[in-house]
Amino acid sequence: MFLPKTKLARSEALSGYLYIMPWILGFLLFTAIPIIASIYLAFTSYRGYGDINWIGFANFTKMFTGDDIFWQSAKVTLIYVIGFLPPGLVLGYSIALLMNRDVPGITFFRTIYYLPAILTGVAVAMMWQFVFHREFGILNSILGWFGIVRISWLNDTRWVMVAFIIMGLWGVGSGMIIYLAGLQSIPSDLYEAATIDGANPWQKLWKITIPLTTPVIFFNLVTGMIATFQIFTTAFIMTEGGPNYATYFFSVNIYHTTFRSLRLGYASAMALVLFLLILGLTSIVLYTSSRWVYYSGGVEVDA
Amino acid sequence: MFKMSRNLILILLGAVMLLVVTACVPAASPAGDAGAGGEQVTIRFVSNHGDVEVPIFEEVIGKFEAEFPNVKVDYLNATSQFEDTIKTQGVGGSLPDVWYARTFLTSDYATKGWTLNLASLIDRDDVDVDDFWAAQIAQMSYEGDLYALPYDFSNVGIYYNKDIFDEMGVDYPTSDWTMEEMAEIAEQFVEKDADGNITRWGLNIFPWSWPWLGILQANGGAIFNEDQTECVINSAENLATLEFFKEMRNKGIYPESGATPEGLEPFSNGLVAMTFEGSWGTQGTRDRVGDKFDFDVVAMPKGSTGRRGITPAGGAWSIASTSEHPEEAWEFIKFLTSTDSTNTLISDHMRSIPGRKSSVPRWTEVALSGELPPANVGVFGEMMEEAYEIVYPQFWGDYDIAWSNLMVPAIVGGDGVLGPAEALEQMEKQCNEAIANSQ
Repeated sequence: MFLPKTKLARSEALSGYLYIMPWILGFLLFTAIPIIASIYLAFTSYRGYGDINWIGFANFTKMFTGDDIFWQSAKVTLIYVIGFLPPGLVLGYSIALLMNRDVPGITFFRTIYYLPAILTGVAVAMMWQFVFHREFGILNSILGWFGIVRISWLNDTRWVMVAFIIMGLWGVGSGMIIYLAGLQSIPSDLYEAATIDGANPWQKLWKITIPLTTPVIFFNLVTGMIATFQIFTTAFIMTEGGPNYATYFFSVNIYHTTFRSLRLGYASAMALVLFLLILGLTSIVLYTSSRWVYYSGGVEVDA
Repeated sequence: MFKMSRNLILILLGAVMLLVVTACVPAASPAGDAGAGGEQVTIRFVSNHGDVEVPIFEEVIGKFEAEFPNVKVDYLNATSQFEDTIKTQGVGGSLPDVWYARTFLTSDYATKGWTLNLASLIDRDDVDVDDFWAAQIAQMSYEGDLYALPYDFSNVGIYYNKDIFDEMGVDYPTSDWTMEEMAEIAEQFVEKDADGNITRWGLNIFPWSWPWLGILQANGGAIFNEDQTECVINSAENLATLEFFKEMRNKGIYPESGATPEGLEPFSNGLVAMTFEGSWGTQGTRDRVGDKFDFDVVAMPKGSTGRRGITPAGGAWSIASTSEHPEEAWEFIKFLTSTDSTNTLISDHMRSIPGRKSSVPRWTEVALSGELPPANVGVFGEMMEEAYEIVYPQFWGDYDIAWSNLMVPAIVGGDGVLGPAEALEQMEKQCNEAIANSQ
């Protein structure tokens, strides 16, 4: 049924697969097989040594009924997602709207806003430790001008999440670039027609700009959601999950369970739960997308 | 024809790629046969030390290779995420032949069957076990057998800035002091600026898990039960200790979290008059302080039980049970831990307390000869005699994570964090979880 019919077609198909062989090999060895192994391990009590014993759903039962730290991880991860994703999307979009103007020096501003997206890792985490320092950090100094009392950003269980959200919002530049691309693909004659019809800028935004950029909003929402649920590096370096497990995100929990406890079976089960959670939410977004995403000039896709 | 040869080229390329990928898998033990003596053998040796120690290790390795010409040591000094890497290698079956195994992890590695039981080799070669510290033997053993040979042994003392003491006209502390006296003395050094911000504290403490094992016990509190199957940390005595420290913190005796500048070491910069510091910190402190002030060291103060809160911990060398050259690895760690090597590695620059008592004379000789501070460095050796005999349990990794999340904020403060009573309650719960998970 699916096989190519003619000899020529078969030969070309074979060539095609051979061309992508390097990627297939890498994908199988470093992604597909480890994922399948991990899903299998989720139902075992493997600890990195000794036998791999199948225990069915015992890991999941323990996780949902007997593990306070699991629920704490889920809670703080969800708080972070809800606290960061919507403001991040709105902020990225707003900045993109600003960057879409043709004023002199706009390229310079676009570069500045995009720079945080290319800085990563330990250096950034250390820089933020300086910024968030209670006594000598820049942030508290600036807040002090407005008479706001010093906040212990990284050592206060209530403010540490806000600190992480601020760090996340600092990096909205990467989303901004994609929004910008979307904004620039809107045909300008639509705006001209709207002006002739007497539309004000607000109406243009809601009736033309936003509907026509829903594909990029959708893209950023899905990729942003997937990435945000997996937040790890900053928490691991700056707070190690603390204080009092306030930044003990899902990934931090999985890391500690894997590399400190070596409870590989249990950690695989947690990873599987995270995977299914992200999969579920992404599916919901995909399912509802047909109602609010407008692809201009394309074929309407049924849900 | 053209299309056939294109596919042929691609297939050949794919085969080459596969070969490259399989060749990239590192061999567990390169070169050499399993022959002991006579045939060329290479063993992998991994340390987890500072850059300054690498040349000293290379010196000792050079001497070993001269004495055992058929053995080559492939040396690597791992710096980041060392213990997580060892665990990954353990699971993957590619552990180095010899690696730096801190005594926190002896039972962890032993229960997983990663380290070689050295009992029979020690008996066979008559290794002088009496030369090791009794407390360290306990830490390097699992179910009565030794699984490592010692490198150094450490405990924590209190360094003090003599210039600040002179300035305030306070007598230097003596090793007779108690924790209350330490608090009273430290309080005299607290200085504030015009806005009421503290600019100098009396003391800098370590909130880490392992020194606190001794501190809590010195005040009559226990952490585990006799056979470490249950956690009993939530006790009145431990609560009293935590409340005592909290009161010190409220008076500004030691800095609250976020109070000292980031990136500045408090003691060497005169921000505190006294500090907890380890026996391993003599050289580093000397380097950092330089000519700025004169300092010395005094023993940890006594707790309510009349004993000092001394927790020992140390470094040691283990052999992988999967090593293909256990004989050669054994000769190497015997050489590494000989009195001569210990003199070179530890005593010659007073790195910490040597793992062998026979190396202590050399250590004392160096301590007295240089007239470098701290003059009273012998106190670390004296403290070792009174140290609590603590064995780190198999679940120490999990205990450590729970400690940093729950107890460290209770000790160093922070808004909105759990206070001592709730922290102890949660800590006991998480600790018992850790014990249950390790079964």
